[in-house]
Amino acid sequence: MTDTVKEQLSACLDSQLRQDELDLLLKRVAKDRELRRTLGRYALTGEALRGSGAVRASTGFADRVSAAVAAEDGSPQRSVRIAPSVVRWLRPAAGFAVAAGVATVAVLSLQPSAPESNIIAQAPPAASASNDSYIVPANTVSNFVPATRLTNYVVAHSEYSSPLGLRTVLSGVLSEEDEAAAAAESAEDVSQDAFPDDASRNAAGKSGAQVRQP
Amino acid sequence: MLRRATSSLFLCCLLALPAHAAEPDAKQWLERMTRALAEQNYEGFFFHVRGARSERMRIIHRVDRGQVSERLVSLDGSGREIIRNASEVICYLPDRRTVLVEKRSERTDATSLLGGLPSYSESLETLYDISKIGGVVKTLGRKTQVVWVQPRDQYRYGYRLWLDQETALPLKSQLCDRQGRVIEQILFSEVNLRERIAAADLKPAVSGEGYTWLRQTTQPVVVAGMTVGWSVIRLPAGFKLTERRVQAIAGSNTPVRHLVFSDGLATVSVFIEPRDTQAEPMHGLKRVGAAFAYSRDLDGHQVTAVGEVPAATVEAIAAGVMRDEGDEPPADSATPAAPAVSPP
Repeated sequence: MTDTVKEQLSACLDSQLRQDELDLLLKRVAKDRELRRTLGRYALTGEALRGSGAVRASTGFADRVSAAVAAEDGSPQRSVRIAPSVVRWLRPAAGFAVAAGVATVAVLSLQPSAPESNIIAQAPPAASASNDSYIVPANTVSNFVPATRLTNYVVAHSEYSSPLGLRTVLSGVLSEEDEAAAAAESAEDVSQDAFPDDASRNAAGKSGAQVRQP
Repeated sequence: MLRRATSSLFLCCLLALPAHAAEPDAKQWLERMTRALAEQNYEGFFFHVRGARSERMRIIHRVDRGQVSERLVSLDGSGREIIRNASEVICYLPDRRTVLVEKRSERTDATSLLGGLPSYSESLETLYDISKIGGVVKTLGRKTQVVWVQPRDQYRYGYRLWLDQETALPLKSQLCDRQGRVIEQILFSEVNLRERIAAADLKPAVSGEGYTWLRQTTQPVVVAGMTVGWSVIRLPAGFKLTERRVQAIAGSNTPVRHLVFSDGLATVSVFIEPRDTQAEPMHGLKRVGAAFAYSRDLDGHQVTAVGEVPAATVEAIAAGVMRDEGDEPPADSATPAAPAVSPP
């Protein structure tokens, strides 16, 4: 293993790696057993370093949580002492489901809905030309609307819901709703020039979501 | 690099306690926790656990002149980050090359990771029983005191808090139902107190350059006649109307009435909009993540109550929604109201 990879491992545990570097590293980790072991050691060392003078739970605790999570996921418990972050990476499926859920929720709440509705036919030319901002999407005849609308309500409510932080965002409110997730997939491919021909256009336009490229 | 944690701040906290004080009671423990969260700089690692799901994250919590800013970094490999400051919550989703920006009202502290945990007040005590459970217990390798904030009725969830004896920080916090079953929890694996946290530490790892930026403003839509006309009767004990507004919500083609009810700790939103004849109606109870939603049809309108509260609460609040007597249906905002036809 090269020193560069070691440095990357270390940086990655400190969350200091760029996304493309991280992607590459994760691919390597997935293929290389030795790398996975090292990553585990690095994580523990990092925590030990950071622990100096700090309020700090025992390392055994992190292991127990990992083991419990692994057990709940139905995967066999690992006897190797390995940092929880590594355990998560070794099971990308579980981690990704949550991650995808988060993005899905947020994107879903802001993207325009299905393109194949009659809305596009009525779109004024000016609107299709402008790609940098759009009005909050109008409802469409999509089959998924009820689930979607409920999700949008939950997102609108999340400003007030906080008992354990931005829970809905953290855990991804959609990850349990396959149907709605499927709707999100289709919503993402939507061109953004739909302009709702709707009486509330003006009202909505003042407060609607906007897409801006920095 | 070896980062040094300082302990002087929490020593100050300890010294600030009166020397003659007997064992602090549950109320004092809660007050200590609230103070620690509002005054303490810290960074650390925690697990957010709900059901079989667990997510490990890093947190950097900075208090500057009374303002809390936070950075949460997901450690699942997605590179996701949530940055909260006084006015915005910004979610960086590098895996989607997307950045979400959400404006916040003044309640920023309450929406920080632990800012929504119960803080002591007399009204809290009328709705929740606040007690210490046992003496000092070893939790996560530290000496902690367990404090239970237990609902007095079936309309709200409770909290169990494991508060660090030295710092009063909640090393473990659980949201529980009335039977004490855990719904969700946050477990710290590491907390480092810091005297100072540099502003640079709250910057995200990615700049977001070239990403799609989605901004959602929450500024209310002003539509004449829409802010009144609906109310909720027979609210569960302690719940009061705290906000009433009209806003544009994605997926709804007319502005939506949004009423907010709170008992001081738990919050329920009620959304009311004219029934869309093309959309499938929503009926009854649904679970969405940690929240419950209850929908019903009322007078040509779709009424939905949403909140991270027991199912009974959203159901009771949705059931109590009524249209005020003599309220005229709101005129369409874009078309002038039709002239009244007087009988011959």
